[in-house]
Amino acid sequence: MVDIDISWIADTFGSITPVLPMVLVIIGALLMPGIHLLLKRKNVTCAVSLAFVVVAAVFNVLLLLGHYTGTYYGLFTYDAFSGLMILLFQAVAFIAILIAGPSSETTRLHVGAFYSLMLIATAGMSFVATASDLLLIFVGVEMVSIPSYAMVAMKKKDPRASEAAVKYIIIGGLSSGLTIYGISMLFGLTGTTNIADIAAALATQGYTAGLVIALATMIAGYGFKIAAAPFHMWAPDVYEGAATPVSLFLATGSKKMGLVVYVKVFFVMFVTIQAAQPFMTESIQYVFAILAAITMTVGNILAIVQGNVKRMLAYSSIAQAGYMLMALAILSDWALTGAIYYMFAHVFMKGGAFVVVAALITAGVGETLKDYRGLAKRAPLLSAIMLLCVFSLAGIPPLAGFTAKFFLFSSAIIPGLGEPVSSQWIWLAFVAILNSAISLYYYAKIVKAMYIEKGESEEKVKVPVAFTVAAVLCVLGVIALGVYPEPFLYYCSQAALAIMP
Amino acid sequence: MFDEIFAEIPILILLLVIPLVGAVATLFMGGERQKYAKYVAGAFSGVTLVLAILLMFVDNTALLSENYLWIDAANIRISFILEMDGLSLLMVLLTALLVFLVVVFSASESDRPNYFHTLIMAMELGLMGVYLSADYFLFYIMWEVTLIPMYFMISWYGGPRRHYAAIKFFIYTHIASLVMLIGIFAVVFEAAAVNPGVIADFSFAAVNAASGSFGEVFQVLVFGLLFFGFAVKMPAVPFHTWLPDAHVEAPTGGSVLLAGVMLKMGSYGIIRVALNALPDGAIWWAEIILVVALISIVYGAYACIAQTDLKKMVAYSSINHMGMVMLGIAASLLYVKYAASPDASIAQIGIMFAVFQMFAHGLVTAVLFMVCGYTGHALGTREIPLLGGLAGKLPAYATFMMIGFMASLGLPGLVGFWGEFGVIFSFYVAAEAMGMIWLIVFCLLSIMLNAGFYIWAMQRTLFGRETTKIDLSHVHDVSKAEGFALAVLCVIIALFGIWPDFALGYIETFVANFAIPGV
Amino acid sequence: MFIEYTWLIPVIPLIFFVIIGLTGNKTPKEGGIIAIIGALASLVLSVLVVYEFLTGPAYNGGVGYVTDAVTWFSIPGGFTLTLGYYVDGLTCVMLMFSSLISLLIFIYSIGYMHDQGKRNRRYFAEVSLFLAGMLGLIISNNYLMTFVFWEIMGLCSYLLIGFWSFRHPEGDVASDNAASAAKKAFIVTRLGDVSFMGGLFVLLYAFQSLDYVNLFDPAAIAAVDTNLIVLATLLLFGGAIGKSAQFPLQDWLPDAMAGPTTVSALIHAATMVKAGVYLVARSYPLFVQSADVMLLVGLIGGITAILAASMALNNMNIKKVLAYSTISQLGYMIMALGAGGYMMAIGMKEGNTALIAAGAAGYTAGVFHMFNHAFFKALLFLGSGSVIHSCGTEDMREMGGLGKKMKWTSITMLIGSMSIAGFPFFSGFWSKDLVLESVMKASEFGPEGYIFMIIWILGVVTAFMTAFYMFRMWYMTFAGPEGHATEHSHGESPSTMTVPLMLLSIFAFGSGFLILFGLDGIITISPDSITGAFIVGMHEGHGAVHYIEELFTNPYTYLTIVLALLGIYIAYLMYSKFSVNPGRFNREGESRLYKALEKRWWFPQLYDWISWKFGYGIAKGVDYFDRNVIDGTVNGLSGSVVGSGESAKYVQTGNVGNYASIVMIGVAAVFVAALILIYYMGGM
Repeated sequence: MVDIDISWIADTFGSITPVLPMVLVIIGALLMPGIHLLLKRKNVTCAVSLAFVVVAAVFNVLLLLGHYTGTYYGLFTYDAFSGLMILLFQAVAFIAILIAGPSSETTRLHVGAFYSLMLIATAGMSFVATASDLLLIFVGVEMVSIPSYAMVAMKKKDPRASEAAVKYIIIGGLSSGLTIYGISMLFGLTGTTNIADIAAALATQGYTAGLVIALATMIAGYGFKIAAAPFHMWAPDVYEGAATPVSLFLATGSKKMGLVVYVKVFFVMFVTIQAAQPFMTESIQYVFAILAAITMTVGNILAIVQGNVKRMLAYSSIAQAGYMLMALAILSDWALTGAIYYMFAHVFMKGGAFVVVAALITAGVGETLKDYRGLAKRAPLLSAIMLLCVFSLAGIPPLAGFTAKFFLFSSAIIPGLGEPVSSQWIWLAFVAILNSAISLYYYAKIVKAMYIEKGESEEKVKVPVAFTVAAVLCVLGVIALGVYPEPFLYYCSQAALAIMP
Repeated sequence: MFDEIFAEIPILILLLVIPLVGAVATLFMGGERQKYAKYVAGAFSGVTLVLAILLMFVDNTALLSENYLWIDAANIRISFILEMDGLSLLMVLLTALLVFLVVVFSASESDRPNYFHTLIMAMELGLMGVYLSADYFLFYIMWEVTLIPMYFMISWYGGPRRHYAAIKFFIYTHIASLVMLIGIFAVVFEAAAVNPGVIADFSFAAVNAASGSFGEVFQVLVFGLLFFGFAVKMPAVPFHTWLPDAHVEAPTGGSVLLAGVMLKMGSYGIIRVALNALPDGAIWWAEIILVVALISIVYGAYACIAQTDLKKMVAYSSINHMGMVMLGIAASLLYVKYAASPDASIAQIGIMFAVFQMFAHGLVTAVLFMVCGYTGHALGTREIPLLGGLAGKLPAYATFMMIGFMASLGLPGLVGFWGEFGVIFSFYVAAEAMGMIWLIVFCLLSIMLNAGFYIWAMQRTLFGRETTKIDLSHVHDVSKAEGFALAVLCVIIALFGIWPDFALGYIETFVANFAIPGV
Repeated sequence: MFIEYTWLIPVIPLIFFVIIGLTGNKTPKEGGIIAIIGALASLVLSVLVVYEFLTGPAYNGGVGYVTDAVTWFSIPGGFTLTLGYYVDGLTCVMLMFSSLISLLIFIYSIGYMHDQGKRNRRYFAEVSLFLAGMLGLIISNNYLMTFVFWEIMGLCSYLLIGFWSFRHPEGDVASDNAASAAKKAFIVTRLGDVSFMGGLFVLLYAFQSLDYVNLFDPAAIAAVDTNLIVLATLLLFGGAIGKSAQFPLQDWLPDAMAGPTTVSALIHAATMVKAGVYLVARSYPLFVQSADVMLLVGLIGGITAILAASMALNNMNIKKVLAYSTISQLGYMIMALGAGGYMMAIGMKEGNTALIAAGAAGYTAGVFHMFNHAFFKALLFLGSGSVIHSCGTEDMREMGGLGKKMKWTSITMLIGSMSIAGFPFFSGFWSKDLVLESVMKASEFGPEGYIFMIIWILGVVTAFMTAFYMFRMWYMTFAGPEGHATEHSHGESPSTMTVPLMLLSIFAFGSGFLILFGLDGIITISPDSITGAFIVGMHEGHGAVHYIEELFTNPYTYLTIVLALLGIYIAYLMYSKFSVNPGRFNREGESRLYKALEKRWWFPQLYDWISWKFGYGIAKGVDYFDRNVIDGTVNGLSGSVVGSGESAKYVQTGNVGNYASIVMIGVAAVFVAALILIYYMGGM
């Protein structure tokens, strides 16, 4: 598409260009506490950290548009895929920070620390997106996890938060343990932690129970981040307990990081050895298919019965993760394209929904369906945005959620374009479709509460402008991705092709 | 004759844009201005109607198509294609007419009229889109777009059980359209796969071009998916139970559009999409379609007899009449399948009259639902046992109801007769080919039952002793606006009843170019 | 010059229907005058057309019909459906009596309905449409158009029988009766109509057209599979059974008396019920393809004739008696057509021209009886109307002795009664004896001929019964001591009512003589010597001598005359002289037969039973199935989804220990699943 000259960036920053977006954010993270000590102004600190994210994002976008690829001493690789993922994480961070400032839930005591942690976590995600070695990925994930624990705990006087944090830490620790166990076993089996080399090794050597254990533990360990069933139990409690900006960050950001890890590890690995080890590959494909099916079903079915919107959204993002996991089952470039597209759609629609929830909590409306009654009269704009976001989540055209599902589900009918229609994954498509039909039920419950039922109070809802801005940005993204997907689809396919070995 | 003008303006796009603008305009007419919303809606729908009528006189069909590239990436191509032929024309006319009359009929709507009209116009947008689009992506989007306004229509302006009915309608039909979506994927990507190098093009044309080389098994399976999607919409027994609930709860305007034009989306889809994309599949499924159609016809008619709610009875009669549409489609397929040497033109009869039946049912059912709607809001109840002897007090109402019922039970001279006559004749021809003419008995039984429940309902509603169960003292006959809407419809019904060729002409040109599966 | 405008004959009343319907109340007599003008215009045009046709080339040595049509619409595959007119002898006869009698009835209505006020607008609009329906049916050139007008008549009969179905002058019960009578009339005749429609499909499929010219072309008929034609004719006859109230669908007609008497006159004399007979007569070329079909037709006619006559024997309602007499007379017509067709069919198979001629005589008899019946039945109904109008009841027990108060009515009614009873030289006499004669003749041919002997006996007995119950009616009404209704009667009706009566009585007496002066030539049918195409009319009439000879040399004629006189005499003894007590035949109300007749041979119960069992009963079942099974499944599925959510909620304990264990279980599950899959895939 567009082609711009970015050689000047490479000239200026030399060898660190591939990690530039990450480095900028890390610098921000390091400065943040100091800045807060000097200025003592919550909003300024917020603004500065936003600035760092934006600058990093600008450079990242430039690199993307320039089709830049490069590697940093073989440890980090910047390509279309990692670039796009970093952009996604930056977008998440941007929205989260933007609403964290005015939100009534976020801490007032450790502002500097909070934003610094947020930036570190963002950097950690970028770290994962670029890393090409299992150990590096592990480090990156921890770089995200540990700040997240703290951020969850950092909520203004709410016992639920600390409880959530404790759960999060315990399950997180368990998962890290499982992961590192799996990595070590893989290392034992193949003698390397570089994904490409591992794949090469596995292609030659056959199947062992040890390998299966390694895979199982790693799937579980990273499944925790994705909140894939049955590793999802922590998610609703944590999302509900944490401050909403943090919940947003976790639901849209760190979940995607988990998916990125799945893609970088399993997707790459099995695409590579597909030819050499068809049975092994196919069986793992089915494992992922089952995982996806269970995840989306559990998420949706449990979401139906929730009375708390925040918790409902938590379950719905579990379900959404299930959809995206389909890509690993189908294991094709087209599926991956769809999944990447879906990730971005999810950022905007789920992000928008969380922003509205945060705004309403800040405005003192509350977070249960009962509080939402008659909201259409009290907050027309927010309600409209919520309406669009949840309909998009339900996959109603012409919104981002539909277009994303359109691409992703179509890949279940044909693994790769131009290939004949295969019946192998049609059952998965049916499960997914039944699920999105079920999901319509509880999304409609939100709409019904806002638009159809009558509320007690009538007075207008006042929310800080930052929320409105964030929400509008999200909903614009939802509409844009829904109505005119073409340009973005191009970058998604580029990313997919970049990762295909 | 209007070709010169239409050469200048993209009229098909206007058919979508005008309702859209109307919807947006009325949406923002809150507060004081909301009482003017009906005039705005009336103006926009009126203009749409005029455009639709003018379209009848376009000779150069090349003018009746718009084609813009929409998504051309990652080797799939999605285009924004609008096309109009005889079938689309009739459906567009029906939509434009009914929407306009609904706006007129609902002039007295006092509860948030602006949103009411927004929903109506949004529905018109979606319906026009469905009937005009020639690209699967656009088709599906428009298909779904029609759902949301109806959902709000029912849950905002509906009856006591509106929440249940609305969500049932929403989810049931949504599931159906998602299954249909899988079918669409299948045909589109198979079309791309069967001739290598071709990229996945979502336009009808691309799929139809490739449909010849689809495998038999593939066609049979995928036709099942599409058929389910469309059968729910039509609706065919046993996928029909969302319909009575939706109708009973929906406001009059909603019911009119739901039964008048939305149900037609199902049969339209079968004719336009399923038959063209999967000819062999259609042939394979012919008997099943026949059975479903016959069951819908008889079952629907019998269900009508048992209803005590006037509107629910009419709702079930839609199932019966849409069954006739499906019967016509089945007839064409069966004739081709069983005739020793199928004659291409005889094979067209079934589809031809199926389309006419769609058109006729749209007009007639609109009258019926308007009458039922009036009954509900004027008398406070639609329970037949509570009514009686109304003809004396409400002559105009009685007249319209009688015309509507007579048209619906297929009285010659009114439009309803020709649909049934033609469909059953086409089915007779098919049955002759199958050597099972006794199957005709089901159709004749349905005609008999139709007469039965309509006449019985009239006896209990309009005739006999004047009811004392409800207070008629303050009841007034149909208002001017309602009378106008009903009268226009009745005139049109009589017009097409006396001279069906007005509509048949367009359908003939359509079926002449229509690829009947298997011939 | 006029015949090109035949299509206007139904269109005029149709237009007037619209005019009256829209602006009736602003016109004199609430549209009555307009309606009369319309009927008059149709009559005049009909006369002109008939005259032009009978003097035209087509009739005199030509093809025997004049037809013209425009394409209505066409169906792919070469099916073309047209809209046009078809004039031949049968058309002429039908046109004449329909428009003439309708006109007289309309005039009569001005007087009879004068107290209906604004309702007259509806009345006159609907009768105009009714007339339009009948005339359209008569002139139509194809079966589809016939069917359309046929159904329009069905609609009008529904509307007019139910004219008082709301706000009945005599109160709610009467309204309910009228409503249910209208419903019964529509639905029962609809049963026949559906059969007719089925016939249309068969014919259209077989001939690719429904135009009479194409269907009656012997070459075309020869080209078509005979079974199809048999099927089609049977289905068409089903239509006739419904419309002409033949057994077993006859029972709607007595109920139809709930409408105004003028409407009954219209239905019985001029329009509705004649349509069925007309259809059979019109379709003769198709019917005569099979003798068996014609045998069935004759049998149905015979059964109907005696069944209806029997029910009239003990009925106390003056209009009901007339209704039964109509059914019974229709039975005669159908009987005659059946007999004639039977002979013609055999004759054609054997190439026996004499037999074909005999068949033609049967056809003539049937149509001729329809022609006569139109006049005397119109007369009788209008007469009874005048009686009801005057003394406000339909129960003959409350009448009696009206003769002095209503001279004209009683005299005209007497003429009508003698005519229908077959009193010598009255119109009924001529046609009825021709009917019986041809039935008798038919019994001599073919293997199943003996059945016509049975039919003949039925016919003769019916003739006796007819004479009896008609005069029973007349005596009970006009003779004997005054009933209390008589005391309160207003005396003679206004001249708008009596003048039509007088005119009709002239016809009722004289219409029979027309056969002596060439009418038979118009209403006979025979295959053209060259083409073999059936031609109605274009014969020299046999003339007076032939028929007088034919009748009075036939011993059975005297038998029927004697039976008629006997019937009249018995009626006289019972109801005028009171020397014989009718109660004797009833054993103080204990007679089974008497009950059977009162209960109309239990036909109403049968209809109810069928409609409740096979209509409402099944419907209830379907409704139950719909609510509980189908919708139950739908709701059950959705309910189970929500329910599973409810139960799954309890897994989410909030206890982090459980979470951890579930994670480990998950790991194990993934491991096991992977192993199983690999094993299944054959990986190791």
